[in-house]
Amino acid sequence: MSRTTFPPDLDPVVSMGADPIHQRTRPWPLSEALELAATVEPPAADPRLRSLAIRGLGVRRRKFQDWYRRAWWGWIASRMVGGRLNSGRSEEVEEVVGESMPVGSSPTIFVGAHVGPAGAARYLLAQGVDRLFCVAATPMAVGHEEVHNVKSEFHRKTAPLAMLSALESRRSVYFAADGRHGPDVADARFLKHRVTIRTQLPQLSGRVQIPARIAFATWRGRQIGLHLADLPPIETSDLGSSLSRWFKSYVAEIEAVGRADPANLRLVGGFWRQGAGGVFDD
Amino acid sequence: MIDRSAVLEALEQVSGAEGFSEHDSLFEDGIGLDSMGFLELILELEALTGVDLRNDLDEPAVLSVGAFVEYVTNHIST
Repeated sequence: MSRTTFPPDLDPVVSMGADPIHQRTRPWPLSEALELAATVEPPAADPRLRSLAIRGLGVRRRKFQDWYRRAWWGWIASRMVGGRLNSGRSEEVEEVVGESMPVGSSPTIFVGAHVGPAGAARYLLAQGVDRLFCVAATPMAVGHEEVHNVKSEFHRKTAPLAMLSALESRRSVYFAADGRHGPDVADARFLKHRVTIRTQLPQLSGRVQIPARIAFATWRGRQIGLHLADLPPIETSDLGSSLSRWFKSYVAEIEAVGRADPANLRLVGGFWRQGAGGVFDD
Repeated sequence: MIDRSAVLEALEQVSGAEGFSEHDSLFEDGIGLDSMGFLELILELEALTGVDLRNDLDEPAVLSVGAFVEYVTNHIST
């Protein structure tokens, strides 16, 4: 199945000058670009996405087009935010940040996912947490955090050790658990599709006896907020059941933010690269 | 002070593997440690030796069982 590409007239808004052809185009301020994106007609919906919305999320057929417009906007808006955070233009992102929730000062295990605007959870946490340590596959120029960049197998293998060291030195850690297939993953179901979740965070949570917290950046209209929720504690005496509860809660939270607003689904990365299929280009 | 055999014993204990050679990989394509297993191994060895084994850890140190044993014993002796 072919993948959807940006309509040419929207490309300058999204590309942030990454495309040499559009480098001459002055990028739009984020708040204006978000408004403009909402006025552009999306391309025809991928049948897989339609099926996921109706069968997985319970979207009514007659409401699908409205749902799809919002989901498609979320996909574009995510790229716009991620592009600005990557290119050091976080002041534009700051302008669309709504009221943030306090995130506390004691060392915490924050669990992310590929939902909402790209990079925004790290950005918001870095503003609210004194010393944030992130494990991520892609470095982002969001500042105010330390990053363990999992650029090689060695870095993947030492990620939990790096997170443990960070927690021991009273830093908070952040890592997205909606990982791809690999050795450190467990099976789960997302929108009725088989997916895998990285197991390191709940295991680490059990090891250090610090409960993990969901930290997703989510859309509230055209503003960004931080969605925080507690995950079940891991009881080492009943590890199997504990992990199972943890995985279910994690996936349920991702599905819940997607149900609340389809713009939060993002449609790329994480579970979308797995059983749910990559509907859009990354 | 612990020697090579003590490091190998810790490896056996944490991985559950037996009869491996020093050329084997530490990870899934060798003695089978995943990233949490590797964390447990480092913690076990730090508890045994009282030495911080994390700060200088680099890619060559985990290329094989032999390289890792070398890394640990060198650290203990310095």
